[in-house]
Amino acid sequence: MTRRGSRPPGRREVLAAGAAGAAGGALALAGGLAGCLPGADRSPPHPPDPELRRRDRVAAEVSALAAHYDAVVARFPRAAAELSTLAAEHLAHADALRGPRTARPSASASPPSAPPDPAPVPDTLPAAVADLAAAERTASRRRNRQSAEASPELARLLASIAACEAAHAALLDTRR
Amino acid sequence: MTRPPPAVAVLQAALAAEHAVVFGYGVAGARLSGDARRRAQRGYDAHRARRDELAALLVERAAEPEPPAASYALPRPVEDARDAVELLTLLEERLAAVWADAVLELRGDLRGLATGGLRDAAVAAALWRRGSVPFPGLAERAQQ
Repeated sequence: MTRRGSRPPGRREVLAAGAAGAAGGALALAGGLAGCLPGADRSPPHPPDPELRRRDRVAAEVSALAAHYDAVVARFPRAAAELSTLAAEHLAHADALRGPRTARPSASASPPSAPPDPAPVPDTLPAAVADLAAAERTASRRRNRQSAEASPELARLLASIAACEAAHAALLDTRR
Repeated sequence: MTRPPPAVAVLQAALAAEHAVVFGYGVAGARLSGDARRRAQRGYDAHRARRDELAALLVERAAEPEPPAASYALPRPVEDARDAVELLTLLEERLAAVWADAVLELRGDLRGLATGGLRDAAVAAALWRRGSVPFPGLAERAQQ
């Protein structure tokens, strides 16, 4: 009768359904989440070459976003603590996209393109932060489009990166 | 032959997750006030809308949308605003993981639905927690 019984095993739950009639309707305490996914690394062992090129291209875009943060921090050092944590997440995205270097035989043949020169930084911190938020939103939309065309595994990673970028934009908006 | 098509199972899982989150917003919203309460109200409305969209997609596919459970087990009691914010952060994080897994299974427009669900959950989690994580929804990349 409980909803849990009818679910496929291993299904992720946001909250466990309460047992019917538990303790006068009180909410039972339970850790409802199957928290971990099987398999630490979901990347396929040998992704096809177009996928590698796609990963490199996105990694270059993500690195450019980190460079945008660096330019703002260089101009407004007082914002370093706050902005550097967000920039570091973009570097983590680039690392995840490029994967382990040793597994990249074609790395020397097609080095990632250098990020373009970042746009000039505005004269005030609020304006610079607004620019960053706009860049994050643009990046997030672009990442979601890239996710639509990618293999399932890469699509999942790109969708997560897009979600992070959208979250950055929302957090930047709150500090203005 | 009786197994539902994969997309239906994935949509049902997302619907079950959204049901649970709607329930959680109902519980947590009662402990919040001011801006946080308004944000919780918007979150409640947004998750209900997503829930209804999922139910409609299932009906389109001749599947019966999974109903909500009668009640849900909370990880801990919600007694004040701080508990409420913690619960909503946790729920949105768990929902992000459900949507991230849905991205893996879905194609085309439905994948777009899943990326949108992941994005909205990650944004809401970041605003409740007042901080970012690098890989929302990816448990295997969660930081220690």
